[in-house]
Amino acid sequence: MSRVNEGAAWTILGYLISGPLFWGGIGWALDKWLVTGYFLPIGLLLGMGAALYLVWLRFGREG
Amino acid sequence: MRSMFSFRAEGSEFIPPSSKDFVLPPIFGDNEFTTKPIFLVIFSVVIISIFFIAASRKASIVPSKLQFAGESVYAYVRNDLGKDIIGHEFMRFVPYLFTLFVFILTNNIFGIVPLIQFPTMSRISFAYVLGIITFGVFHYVGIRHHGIFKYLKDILFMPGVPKPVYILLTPIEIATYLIVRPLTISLRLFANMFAGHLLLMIFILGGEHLLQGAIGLKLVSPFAFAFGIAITFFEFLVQCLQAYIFTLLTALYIGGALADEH
Amino acid sequence: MTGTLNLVGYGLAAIGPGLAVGMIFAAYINGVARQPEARSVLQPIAFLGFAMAEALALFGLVLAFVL
Repeated sequence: MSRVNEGAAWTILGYLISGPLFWGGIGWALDKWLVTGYFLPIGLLLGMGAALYLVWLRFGREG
Repeated sequence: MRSMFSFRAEGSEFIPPSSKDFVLPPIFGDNEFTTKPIFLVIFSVVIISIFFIAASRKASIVPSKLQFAGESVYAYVRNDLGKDIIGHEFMRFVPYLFTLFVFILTNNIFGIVPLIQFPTMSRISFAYVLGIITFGVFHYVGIRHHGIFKYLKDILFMPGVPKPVYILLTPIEIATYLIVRPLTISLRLFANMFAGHLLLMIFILGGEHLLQGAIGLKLVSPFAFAFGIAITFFEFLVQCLQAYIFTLLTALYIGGALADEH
Repeated sequence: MTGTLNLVGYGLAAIGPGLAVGMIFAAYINGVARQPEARSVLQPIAFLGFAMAEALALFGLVLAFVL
């Protein structure tokens, strides 16, 4: 059971990549659509925040 | 002084190796299914089969050297990657993990074997196929074990979160499980093999190019070759490590799909 | 020579998180080596710290491509 945690680093990296990828992608598409410039940074920050929250939910609680 | 470190012939410019050097021409005619990587894959299957059939044919209690070599690889994959990570149902997956490990290891080591010197996995399609197989295996195993609805619910809805936050989190989970996992597992293998082969080519081709220069450059070229040899040993380490990591991640994903909760 | 300076910038930006991840796990290993029973307390902290540091590196990676 202890070695399952060995995969924690890989799982965290996966979340951290896919969070900004998804929400940043949506922000990028909104920027293209509405011809604005501020949705991409918002999406990136939102995605990274959500990914960090997910990491905390999975690995940070109780321990 | 200047002439000691220059190239005599004009236009003998150094062409650095690039990703074009990985696109090898077909060996027989125009059939693009007869390139070197394809033959390497077939060759690796042949030598793996011969090795393990020979190692297991006259199995005895006091093992021969060959049997010992084969069995220690098998025992390593079964105990360290299978039993420790997947848990009590690990025996079902040992054949897959073992095949994966030996196949990737052999194909990686082709990168430093003299006369072959091409890691098959530096062509990305091979790495993609392995990633897709692993992706199929761990989702299939999870769906069979939990039933499709419970499996999807486990993936998509992290427990203990207020409901509106799911709008934020669920797309990330979907992206992680369906896109990022198979993509990163193949890209990691591919990128390591690609970069390693490129590095070797730079030092060996650069050393060879220095030999064509004036006397000062000729004296420098042995250092490039020596560093190329050092990098070769380093590459051996990286190749074993990447085969291990690919198998480890496969085992972790299968173990995660079988686990009862997160 | 052709190419984009963004990638040089990303290379420089990756130094910091690289050092940070190394220091976090060095401290974690140190702590567990001194007091093995503290492992379950230290592990979530180490992984959260790792996630924070890695997040900065990934920001750099994304911005190197989109800017």
